[in-house]
Amino acid sequence: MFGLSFYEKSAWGTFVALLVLGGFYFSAVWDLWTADLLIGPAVFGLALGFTVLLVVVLVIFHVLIAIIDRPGDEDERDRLIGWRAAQWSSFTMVAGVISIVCLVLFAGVLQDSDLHSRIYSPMAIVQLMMILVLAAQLLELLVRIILYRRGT
Amino acid sequence: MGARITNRVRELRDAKGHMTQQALAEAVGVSRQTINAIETGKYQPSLEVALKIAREFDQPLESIFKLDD
Repeated sequence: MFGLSFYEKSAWGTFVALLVLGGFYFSAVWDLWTADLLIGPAVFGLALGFTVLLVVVLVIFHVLIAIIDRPGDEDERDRLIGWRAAQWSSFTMVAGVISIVCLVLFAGVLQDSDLHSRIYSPMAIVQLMMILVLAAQLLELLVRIILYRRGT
Repeated sequence: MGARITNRVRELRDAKGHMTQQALAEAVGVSRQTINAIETGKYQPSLEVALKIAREFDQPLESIFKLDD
């Protein structure tokens, strides 16, 4: 931990926080979805709690690592790694959006099926979008970590 | 990926009175971790940083960085 730059420590911490807290959040969302209880008030409370907790955890973590290792400006290596990682995030978002569009259209075709009623709800589509955003962020952070460790 | 570039940065740093990675990093404007990555071959610096390193050690660029085909 002490040989890592501030930006690499940040990538590690953010990755772990998103993975753990995101895992808890979507586990709860899954339970609601399977119980057919994926409705506005329940999801709103869950999302708000997840967001607040994530922000608090990340702020505390970044303050701690800034105390240990005062961050300087990003140098050329940090910027290069950031750009390369962002490419992966972009690809994931595009692929994910196309996949969700296809899923919604497919569900739209199956008008009388259980899949239709479960997918064709605003809350379900919102959660799919949120999974996509989380996945894109996690992949970007993972690529950053790999590039920092393995080299560019 | 391309040809491999090797360097003598660590060797030159040691020869210059055991200059620290931090001192070299400050001299060329990058982080200590970037200097470490350059020395271990995990990162190829930009031309600007490579020239700054060469200037710091008062050596020609091609005597510090070599292309391994």
